[in-house]
Amino acid sequence: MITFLSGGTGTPALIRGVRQILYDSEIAVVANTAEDLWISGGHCAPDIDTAVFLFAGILDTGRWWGIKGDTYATHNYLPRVAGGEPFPVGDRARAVQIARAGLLSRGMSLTEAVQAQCRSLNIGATVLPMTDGDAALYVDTGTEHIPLLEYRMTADPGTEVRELVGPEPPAVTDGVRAAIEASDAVVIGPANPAASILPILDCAGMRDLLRDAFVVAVSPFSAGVAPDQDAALMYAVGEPPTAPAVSRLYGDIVDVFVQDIHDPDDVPGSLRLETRLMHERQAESLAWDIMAVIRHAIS
Amino acid sequence: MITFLSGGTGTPKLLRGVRELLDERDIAVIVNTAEDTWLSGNHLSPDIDTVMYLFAGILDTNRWWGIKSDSYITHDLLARLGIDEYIAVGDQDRAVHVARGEMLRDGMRLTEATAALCARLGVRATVLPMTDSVVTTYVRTPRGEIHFQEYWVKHRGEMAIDGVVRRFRQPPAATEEVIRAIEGSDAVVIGPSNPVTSISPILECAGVREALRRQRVIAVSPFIGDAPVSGPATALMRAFGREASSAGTYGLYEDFVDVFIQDIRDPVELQGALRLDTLMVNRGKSLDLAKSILTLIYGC
Repeated sequence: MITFLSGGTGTPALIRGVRQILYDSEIAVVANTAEDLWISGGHCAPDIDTAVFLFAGILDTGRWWGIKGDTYATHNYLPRVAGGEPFPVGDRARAVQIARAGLLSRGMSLTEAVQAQCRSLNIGATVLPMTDGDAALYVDTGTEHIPLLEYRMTADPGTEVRELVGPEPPAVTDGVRAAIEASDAVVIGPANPAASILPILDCAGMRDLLRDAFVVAVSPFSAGVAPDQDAALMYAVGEPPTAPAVSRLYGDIVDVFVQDIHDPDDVPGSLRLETRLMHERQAESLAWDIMAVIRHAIS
Repeated sequence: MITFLSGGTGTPKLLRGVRELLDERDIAVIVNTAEDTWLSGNHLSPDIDTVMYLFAGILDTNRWWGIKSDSYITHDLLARLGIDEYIAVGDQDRAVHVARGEMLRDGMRLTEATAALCARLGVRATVLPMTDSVVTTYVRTPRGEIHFQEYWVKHRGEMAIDGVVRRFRQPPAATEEVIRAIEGSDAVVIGPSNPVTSISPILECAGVREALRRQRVIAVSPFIGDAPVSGPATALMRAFGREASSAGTYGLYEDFVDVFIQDIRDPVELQGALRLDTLMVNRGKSLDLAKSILTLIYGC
């Protein structure tokens, strides 16, 4: 089994490629929950939902979030009767959020609720929230604290990000522990470290688990080029949006660091691969390369 | 101004006629909230929504609930995810529940939230929840007490019941707005709504009966013989310890009612009752009954 640490849009794109090689039952995904928030009475968990929707075959792979072909009747009607929602919630995605909120309010842990939802959507892979505790991050813009997801979905590119503030990092779950211990390798996908990966690594117990595992990490950045928001989030944790910075942030848990073949910012000892995931073929190709590295390492 | 006491069916049909005759600003409606519930994380207030949607011109008047030509995308997927919303909540309807849920979570009173929603929907009539506190109608069945909406919507009333109870943390009291509306009106009209589940909850709010005794009150019976014009009133009246008829209905209202209207077809004889055609099967019939009632009030 291979476990992926996932957030944002890059890791799901890689996982789509991996699905061409591995059975879903051989894939576990530990999803970032730092962007989770309650909205309109429902429980929004974007990184969990992206993984779930991907394995259910209903992910909108144009945007890498939400359900393809979803409608927005409730969301579009809300501004007529009240203030509206900070970002679009599809009618089908809302059902998933409401269903999860219902399970949580009946006392289930987030892990159990996600498991139940995976069952009802007939998903073969294992999708695990990184924690059952509160890990919600907020962006300090200097004037206010806005939820990380809201920042990602609605903030204009110039918005200042002073720092990311959140609670004391909660503990990883037993489910995450078991998945990583049962895995041949852990792959840290090409997601923004500041917003998606560090929240997972910061969970109490996570780095210790990874030190005992074979870990492959893929840099999401090449040549210091990143969208404004991604760059701002990196600067908020004190680093530029470059592969060396990503390598520094992950530290000693990584066994193989993968950076783009064209990246001029060299990380000594890194494996150079084509990491751009513009289409399915590239994702499949990167997946083959990573699997080869893992097979070689564990054989 | 005329104030109406309303549930979710019957009285809204009368209001359909009244709003064609009066300036809507001269209409106030005190609405039953004992069927309110939190559903799917948001606040469902079925009778308020029906009245509000009626005045906003968006009510589905085939069913007399919900928004016309609404879609059910979220509701349908919820069912596939194993969540049974026992009421079919439309997607636009859900937006209203979401908006109200957020307002209540933010600490607004239900009266204020309703006023805010009415303003956004362009409703000029005054729609008032009977109370701002929580009171809920349950029916007693052999299998225990269940929420009235569950009994009526989920089980379609096909269940033996032997009691009707109201549950609350603190006894419900009418809001100031409700009492002011009753006192400031030329008359109060109790529409042909279910006496047990729609009108009695309003009458049980502290202050309402006293205010009604000081006011001119016209009530319309929802019964023809022992059959209600619509809804589950027969079983509920019996479970409430009342006869399921106009006589039983009159018994609930007799301490404050001035004019009691029963249908021309009703075989039950009630001394002094006014006989009118109360079967509002179409817009014209609603208009006719509304005209007769306004004539009673204003005398011309």
